[in-house]
Amino acid sequence: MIKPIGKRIQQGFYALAIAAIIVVAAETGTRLEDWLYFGEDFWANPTFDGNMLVRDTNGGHGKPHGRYKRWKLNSFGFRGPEIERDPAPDTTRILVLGASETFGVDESDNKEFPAQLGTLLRGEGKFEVVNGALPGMGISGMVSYWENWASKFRPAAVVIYPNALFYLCDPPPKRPHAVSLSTAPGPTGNPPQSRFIAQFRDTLNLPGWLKEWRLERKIADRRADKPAEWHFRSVPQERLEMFASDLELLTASIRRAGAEPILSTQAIRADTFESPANRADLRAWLVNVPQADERIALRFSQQANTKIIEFGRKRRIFVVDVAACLSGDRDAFSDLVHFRDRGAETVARAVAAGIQRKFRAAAQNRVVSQSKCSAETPKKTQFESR
Amino acid sequence: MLFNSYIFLFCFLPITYIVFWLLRSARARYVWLAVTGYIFYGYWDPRFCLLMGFSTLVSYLAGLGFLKYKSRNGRLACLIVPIAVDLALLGFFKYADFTVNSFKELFTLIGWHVSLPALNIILPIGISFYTFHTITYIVDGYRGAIRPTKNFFEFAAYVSLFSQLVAGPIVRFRQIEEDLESLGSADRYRWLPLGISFFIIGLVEKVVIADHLALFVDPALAKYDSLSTLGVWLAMLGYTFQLYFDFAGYSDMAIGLGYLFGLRIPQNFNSPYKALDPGDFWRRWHISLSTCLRDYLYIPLGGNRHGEWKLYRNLMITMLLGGLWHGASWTFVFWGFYHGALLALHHRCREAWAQLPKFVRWSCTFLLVVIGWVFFRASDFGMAAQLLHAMFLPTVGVVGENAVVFLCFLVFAAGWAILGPNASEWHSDFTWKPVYGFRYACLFGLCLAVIARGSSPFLYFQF
Repeated sequence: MIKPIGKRIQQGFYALAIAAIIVVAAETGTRLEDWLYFGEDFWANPTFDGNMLVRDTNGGHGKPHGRYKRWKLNSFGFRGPEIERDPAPDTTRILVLGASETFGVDESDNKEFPAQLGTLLRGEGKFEVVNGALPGMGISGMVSYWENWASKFRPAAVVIYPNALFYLCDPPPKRPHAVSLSTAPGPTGNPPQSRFIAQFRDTLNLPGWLKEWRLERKIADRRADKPAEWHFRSVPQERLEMFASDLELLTASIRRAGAEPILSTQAIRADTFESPANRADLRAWLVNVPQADERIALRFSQQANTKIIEFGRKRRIFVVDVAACLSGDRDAFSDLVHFRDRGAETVARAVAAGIQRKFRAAAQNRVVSQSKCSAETPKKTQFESR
Repeated sequence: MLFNSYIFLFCFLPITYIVFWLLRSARARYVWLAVTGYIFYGYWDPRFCLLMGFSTLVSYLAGLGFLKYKSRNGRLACLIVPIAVDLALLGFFKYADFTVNSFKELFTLIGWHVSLPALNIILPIGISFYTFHTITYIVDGYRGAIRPTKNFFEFAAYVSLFSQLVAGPIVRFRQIEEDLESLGSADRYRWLPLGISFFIIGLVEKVVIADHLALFVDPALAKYDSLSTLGVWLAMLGYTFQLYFDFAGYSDMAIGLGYLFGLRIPQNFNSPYKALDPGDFWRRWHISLSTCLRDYLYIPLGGNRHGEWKLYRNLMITMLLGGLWHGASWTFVFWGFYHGALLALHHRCREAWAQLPKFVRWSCTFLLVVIGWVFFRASDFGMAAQLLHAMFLPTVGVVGENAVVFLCFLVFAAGWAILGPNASEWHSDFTWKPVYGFRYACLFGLCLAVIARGSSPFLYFQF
């Protein structure tokens, strides 16, 4: 039996009203949740960059008291507990610089590696660890960040956990001193957005085949219309040199300010190209570095780590070889570069062991140059200096 | 696949529903329900579909055996063999590790150092539930309480019915036999409003209440040794209501889903925290399990027919096995023992108990149930002892995070569970009005918001 047109229109409106109510209730519910658990203003349109980053006369840095979802910054815009501007006289302040792996993304609260490092060093005399990392900050960004902002907190040592893979991006990172946190919001604030949809996108757990399809589409989009010479055919040495030169600038600047740089190699989940899981991780990273392929990304990361070690030897900078103790430990990572709690703990232990050796050697007027996992001992916990 | 996941809500359920009602014959609908049940189950680990398929086949053949054999021996064989197979599977997957570890601990205790292999068997999700489904079918077939079906797909649809497959309710074949038989002529529109209403109320119970309580309870109990007396009480009260709304929410969603497909699944929770004595509690909590234990274990053991001491023995055996059914751990066994003791004790002094004011009976019962949940929740006796110590002896420590928000949810949850109507009471005189659509849309939208933050699996999935 065909329904009369009036009845159909009525039903159509009813269905539309129901759909509208679902959408409005979902948005309201998301905002209420954010207000209840994160203290977020109901009407605000928060974004990570808008809430957490600021650009002022000190350049780009973390926003004082910035807060986005579960992440909170202290009154100087650093993740972690409150600190005084100047370290206490008997305290050795250690600043950790890095990108999202160091800032802490997928770890539980207070499990990001600088926080765990702070806990480990607490029993070792008067150490204070400051997490000075910001998501997306490469070595070139760290130079101006250090010079304009972080150096004002007078750390005795600066641990640098670099993400060399940024140097495969298109375009490559800007030259140091030309860098500011360009993602900071403009004066008009954030545009209106649906927090529910943003949340939905974050937690949507698509089946593997669909994720793969979306990934391939993104990579293809980024490679579309690019000439053949745009693709890397081998590890781009000029990018490696760029990385090394930025490292040189950063460490020199740190030393000029009277602090001691401590370098770390970068650990990634894929240590070889053989396993399909490793290849999938590397493939996922190609969204960020579409000029490269999986093999080149892996080799670039490995060669950058070699560069870091060589650079450390040459400049007599202490290097903690985190890659040697963690790369390939798949359970320690949530993706190619970000840590889970255990991964962050391993990094913290490696760095803590390195710092203890470094400062002990300094007290005895000895030089130590590198700390890495021992081949004979289990990977996760034991470290040996040589 | 979880009921409170987008893949279920926006993909699996709509497709299953639309195709089901497009199909016309009962046979086609049985096949479709069985197929979707296996897809739903296989979403976790497809390998375990084989296990469920095997268990289904064995029980189906037992049913055919009851139709074929009239001799006592033949029927006994059809009863014992498939039940033994089902219990062997359950025993291997659920209790083998537990048994080996228990022996290891026992040997260590008496000073023998025996090296027993660690089996590390993965527990197939929902095995306790579908094993009960098949066993009740076989026993009812043997007793003549049902006429076993000759239609394999009807039986497969019953066992793998996705709404009650992994966490119950334990629906006996005889309870939905009539609806299954008339599935081909089921009235889609008759049950649709009830289905939607039950499902959304269940979703609210799970997602809005249980999951919000879990945000306080789970982290608090993860570091239970640092909690103060107040912190432990809040965490245990939170867990008490979290468990109820989690499981009752699942059951109500299952009932709602049943209605959507023309199947009337019986009530599983009847406001258990309104109970006035331990027996009353068990008549209200996880009704499908307690009635199964009563009908298939307690009564066959003799029930209350052979004197007081045998009654206590039967109660204790039933509750100990009920505890063990919940999980392969001595804490669950002790929880069963504790409730067995409460039931026996109540039976012994039931007349004096009845003289007490209603409020005293209710509060004592509630307190005793909360104490029981300590053993249910604790990972070992050390944790249980520490929680009980902090509950009853003043302990200094922390309260937990987000305590104010948690308290709001706790008060709301307690109010609803103790004073409010349960989902079945809510629907006792249910007539759909168009304005209800807006109300449920609003609740559904709120649930989607919470799910987007990341909803947790159901607590009863582990059993």
